[in-house]
Amino acid sequence: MSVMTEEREALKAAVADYLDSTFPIDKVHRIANGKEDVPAGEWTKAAQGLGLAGLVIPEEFGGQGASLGELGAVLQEFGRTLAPLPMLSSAALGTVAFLVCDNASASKPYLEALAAGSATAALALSEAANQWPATINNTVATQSGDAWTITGDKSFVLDNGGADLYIVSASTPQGPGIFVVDAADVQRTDLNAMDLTRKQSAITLNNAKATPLALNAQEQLTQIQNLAATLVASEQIGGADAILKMMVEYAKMRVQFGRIIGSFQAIKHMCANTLVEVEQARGAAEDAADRAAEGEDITLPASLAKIACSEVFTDATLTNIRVHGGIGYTWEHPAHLYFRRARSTSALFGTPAQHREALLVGLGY
Amino acid sequence: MTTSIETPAELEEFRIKVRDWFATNATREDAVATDKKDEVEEGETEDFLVVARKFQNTLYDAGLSGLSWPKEYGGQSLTMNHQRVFNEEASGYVMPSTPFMVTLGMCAPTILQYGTEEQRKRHIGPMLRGDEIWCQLFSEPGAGSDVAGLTTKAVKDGDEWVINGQKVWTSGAHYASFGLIVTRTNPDVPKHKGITMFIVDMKAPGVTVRPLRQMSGASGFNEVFFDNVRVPATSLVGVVDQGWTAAIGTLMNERVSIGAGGGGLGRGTGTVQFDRLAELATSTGAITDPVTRNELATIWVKERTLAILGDRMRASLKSGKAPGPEGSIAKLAGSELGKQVADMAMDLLAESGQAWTNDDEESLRWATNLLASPGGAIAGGTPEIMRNILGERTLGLPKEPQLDRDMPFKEIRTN
Repeated sequence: MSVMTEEREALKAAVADYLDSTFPIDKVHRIANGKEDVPAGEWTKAAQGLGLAGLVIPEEFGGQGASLGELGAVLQEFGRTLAPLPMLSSAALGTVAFLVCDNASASKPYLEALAAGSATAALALSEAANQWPATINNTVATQSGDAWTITGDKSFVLDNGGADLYIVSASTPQGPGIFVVDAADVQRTDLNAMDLTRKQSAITLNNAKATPLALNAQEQLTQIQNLAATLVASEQIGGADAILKMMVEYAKMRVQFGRIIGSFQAIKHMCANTLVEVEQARGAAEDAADRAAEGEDITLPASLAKIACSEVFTDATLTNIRVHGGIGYTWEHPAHLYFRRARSTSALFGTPAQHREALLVGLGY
Repeated sequence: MTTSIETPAELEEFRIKVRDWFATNATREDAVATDKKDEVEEGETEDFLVVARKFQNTLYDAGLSGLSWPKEYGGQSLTMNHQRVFNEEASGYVMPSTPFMVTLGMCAPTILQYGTEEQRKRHIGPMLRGDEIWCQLFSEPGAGSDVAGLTTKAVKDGDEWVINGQKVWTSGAHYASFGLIVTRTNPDVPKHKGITMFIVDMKAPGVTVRPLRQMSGASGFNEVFFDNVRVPATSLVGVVDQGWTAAIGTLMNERVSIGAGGGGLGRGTGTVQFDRLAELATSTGAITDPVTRNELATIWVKERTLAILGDRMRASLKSGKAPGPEGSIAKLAGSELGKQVADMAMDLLAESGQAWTNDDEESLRWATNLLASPGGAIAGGTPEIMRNILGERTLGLPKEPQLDRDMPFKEIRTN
């Protein structure tokens, strides 16, 4: 039912092949348990081989120049496999911040390093829980001559255990600004993340050296967060799709009462309901990404995608555990890795409730 | 979306053409008196057939009907992007197209896919022009969810077939000129293997149409009796005894059509239900209530995702793929949304949703909507049947054990 172009399908298939062979779920599980590490240099390898790190970076900076629609398609595959590479955190969230700021002279060296896979970026906008869009509470940027420094705290930063660059919002006399801060100038503390497959941090900046990407940047901040919601939704729908397949596969092989359990309507209808939700949310996610690629205002589509994908992913992961019964509740089974990812991403970049309110306000009510 | 072959300039030219056509030939929704809105939209005014026909005739003559249908049969052979532009421009105008939903959403695609060349040439143009209205004759009193259990018989007699039996829940049978009927032609084989589809002239001798009244009080469908009705052998659609395949195709189109609210004209770009509920919540003051706001946003989300799903499914169909069981997704989601909208309106109206004064059109409309909503879930297959179809055909889960599947039809227990 997908209406993707052939090119996009081909890209998605190539990424799927790479991820399935490099990060099968049992390997992801071992990495999540700390029993194995992500292979050294894997992200650089992916950057050079498949061009993933620079997927949406313009060709002039060494990227692939692909659209946000393609990025959304690739994120679906990362969501499906839970591959612990900084695709969402750096190649999507960190990178689009640079692109939205559209400041070629300041961004050039960073974008080149990101595209090459020799550096990763993380988006650090949030300062406190339960704020959507994120507001700048205490982070202040100060200018002295041509140099800027930032003092403040950010939290819930998706940085996969440590990025090289942090994109930070801070207040300035010219309104909110967006800056790049080098990891060396940041004090980073690991958060205890529910999602075992993606590390998060809180960071403290204490007169940290900063490079401005945009000043008086309220509009850019809004756009970055709308894109963040859209891109997280793309990743979520990939996860939800994987969960649908997992529950169906189990329902087709598990036998109880002398029958395959998937032949019972009670189980069949749980699977069918998940399919209905997944197919609708997929449309919402792809629609938002495609509209973003066309340069349309995505305020409403982004909220729509984030609500739909958060809810279906959450529901699907719970349903999947129920279809599996006891085995689905064990630590050894990967079901909980997706359940954790669903709950975690549902809370990030606007909860469904926050997006609902944003929708009504956006619609004029 | 689909790979397009049109240039942006062509699309823009088309947009202007559509915009001009609507400005000249259609009525804006906001120009219709509130108390007449539903009637005009649903085609329930007294001369609605005349109005609907005239609208469709003019649309066709302007080259705006059957946009993505093949030119050789009266369509325009345009792209899905043209259809999208058309939908955008049509938004906000009254579309008196209800009488053509079955014709263009279900019967025409079936004829296009399974009919003979002669049937396509003879019927599709008049269907697109609104000159021929069709109905589908599938359900029977004894065969509801289990349509393949039908008992209406067709027996070959020389160059003709003779049909006897009864159909039910037939929308538009009272004004249709043709019907697509499925009949039992071989009771000695299992039930799915002895069914044949025909085109039947609804004015033929032996056809009797009686309206049925629904719980909402409206009479949208009928029971139809066939008493030695003779149809020529040329009215056979597809292959003798293999009509089930074609019937499945029609039903899948029906689900897309009912679920995505598109009919043959493919609308569904707006958020009509949300707009109406938000208006109602504003007038009652509930719009400031957080619970109401949460529910309203949920309606908007469901309506929009359904509209996007409808667009994607039509894009997929028009790009040449046969309808898949995904129609059931739109059907399920659509009936769920309908129920939620009806319930929410009742919550907002409270007491005045259950008893109202003569001049309270708003309450009347929502109460009528509530009483019509259970029908939306049943029409085209109940939610449970839809979930079985999705589970079995799309997800490949095993069927419930079926007692009658491989038995000759004549040995099966029927109603």
